[in-house]
Amino acid sequence: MNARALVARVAGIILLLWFVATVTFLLMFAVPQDPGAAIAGPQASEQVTDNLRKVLGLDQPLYVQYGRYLWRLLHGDLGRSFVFGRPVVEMLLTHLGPSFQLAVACVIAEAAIGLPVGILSAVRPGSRFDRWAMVGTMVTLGLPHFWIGLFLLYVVGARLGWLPLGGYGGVAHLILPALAVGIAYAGWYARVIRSTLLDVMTREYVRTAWSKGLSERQVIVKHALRNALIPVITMWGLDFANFASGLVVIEAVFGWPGIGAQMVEAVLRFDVPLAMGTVLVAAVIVGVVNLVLEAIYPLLDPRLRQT
Amino acid sequence: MPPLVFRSGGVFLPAAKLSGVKTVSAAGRAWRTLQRDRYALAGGVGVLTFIGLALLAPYVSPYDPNFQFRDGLSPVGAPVGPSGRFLFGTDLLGRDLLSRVIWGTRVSLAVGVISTLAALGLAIAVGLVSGYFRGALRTGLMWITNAVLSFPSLLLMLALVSVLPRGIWVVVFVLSVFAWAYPARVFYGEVRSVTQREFVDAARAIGAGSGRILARHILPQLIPLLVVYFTLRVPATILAEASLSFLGLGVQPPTASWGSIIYEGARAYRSAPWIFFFPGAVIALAVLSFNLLGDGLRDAFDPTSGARRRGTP
Repeated sequence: MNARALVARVAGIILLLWFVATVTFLLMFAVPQDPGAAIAGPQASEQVTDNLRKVLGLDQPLYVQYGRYLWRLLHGDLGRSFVFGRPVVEMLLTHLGPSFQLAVACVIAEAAIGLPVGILSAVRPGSRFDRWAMVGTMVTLGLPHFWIGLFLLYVVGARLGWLPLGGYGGVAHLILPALAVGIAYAGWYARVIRSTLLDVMTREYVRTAWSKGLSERQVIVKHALRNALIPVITMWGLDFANFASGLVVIEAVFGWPGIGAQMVEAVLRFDVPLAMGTVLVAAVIVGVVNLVLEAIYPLLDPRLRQT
Repeated sequence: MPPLVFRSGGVFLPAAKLSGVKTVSAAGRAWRTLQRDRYALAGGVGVLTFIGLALLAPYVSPYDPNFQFRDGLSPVGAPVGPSGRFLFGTDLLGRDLLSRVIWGTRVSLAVGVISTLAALGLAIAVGLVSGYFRGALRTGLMWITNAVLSFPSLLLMLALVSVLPRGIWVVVFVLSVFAWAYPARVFYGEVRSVTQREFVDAARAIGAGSGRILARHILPQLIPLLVVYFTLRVPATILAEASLSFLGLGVQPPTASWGSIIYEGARAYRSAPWIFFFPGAVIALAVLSFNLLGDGLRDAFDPTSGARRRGTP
């Protein structure tokens, strides 16, 4: 990617962020619910609620609030949480670490389960293993990942007692949530690697590799697989972005203190700045990961370098 | 294109129809392909079963889904496990879980189908307009579509749900707001390619306006794609509804959807695992059925897709 394209892409991301910021802003303020009353709580007197509105700037007209919001945003200030009184940036930073850990564990689990299944299927298409594996992926793709999570918690955590029943901690705490997500989405990886491998196997350079007398292992691992992995890298990146920007439901099941869990808390307690900040940070993560993906494609695939 | 023969009343008919030669329409060919696809047929049977369950819930379900049975709770007030009387066991309030799951089929399926229809309606509109017209309209619509696609959608769904009153229609609305973008991009591509075809030029040459061309010539070409996407988006929407309800932000009690039953069951996953187990298994069956049927339809409508080999789903 040359400098010009990079600038265009970054501008695109900034435009997108502005769009997300505006949409979330309008969402939070242009709706019938009164944030002032929501924060003050049902028991608060009229005076308390009014004071609160003044302090938080909620008594200003919408465009003034919007202007202030964008101005602060430009300075990296996402405001203060209504409920906790702490700066949103600071709160998000504390949740970002756990979210990234979980996202990394989840994409590893997906690939570790899905890729071997898909590769073995593609090596013997139409075999019994292939048929059962593809039926299996259809079934697992239909399972809600939070249901797999509950199931694993019940069997591995509660009945067998092998792993902790949720919460934040070391590697042991990561295994079950990552496994739940891994099982739920591994099917995509198995299917994609299978179909791209089957496609790649018909290419001329693979035929050349066969005719050189290479072993099946060498042909598949060194020649076919390397090319078939390119679409998988895209999926990996997109999944990582999605997971890092909040595995909301899985975090709720396992009590994992990530961005998603924070979002649910913000939404349930009507913490507008926290919720808006979370959505924005999630959008930043998705945008940056997309940018990185586009930048590394030419490194992975020399065919993309000329253009 | 078979030769056309003039018929009285100014109607042109394919000559084959008059001569009694059997012609096979695209839909007929697709149907024949589908009949040979065991997986798609199994999916179709599953889909019909779930539709039947939803429609006939009052007659099929053994009990009233909201009735709290005295023997539905143990002496210490715990839900009872699966038995002859309660096939799926009872929930935390002593209600029959099987009946709740059957009634939940209504809610989950209705939310899935209605949201998907709304989303596809919007997607078709965006696809037609941005695929057919050039210029700023196309650029703008596609930018918005891509923007929505790159949103962290569950987070925005939560933000949206948080500011609206809770209820089924809000769930439908929120799900459709985020589900249109992907099919819109697919329709956009299809419309762009259909617009290049000769019959569109022909229609334009005989003076048809844009509206007529879009409605009479391009829209019918999208129907196979629409059917396929409908079948494949419903299960995705069912899963999304389950996620929202699981967070307690979807369908509200006492109404049961599959997701909301899991939400209630999650609180007692150690002592009463059947409460979360059965609705989840039913979701998996429903999603599987729709996906099998949808994949089969895609292959049937597009013999060249070659996405799968014979005998593998």
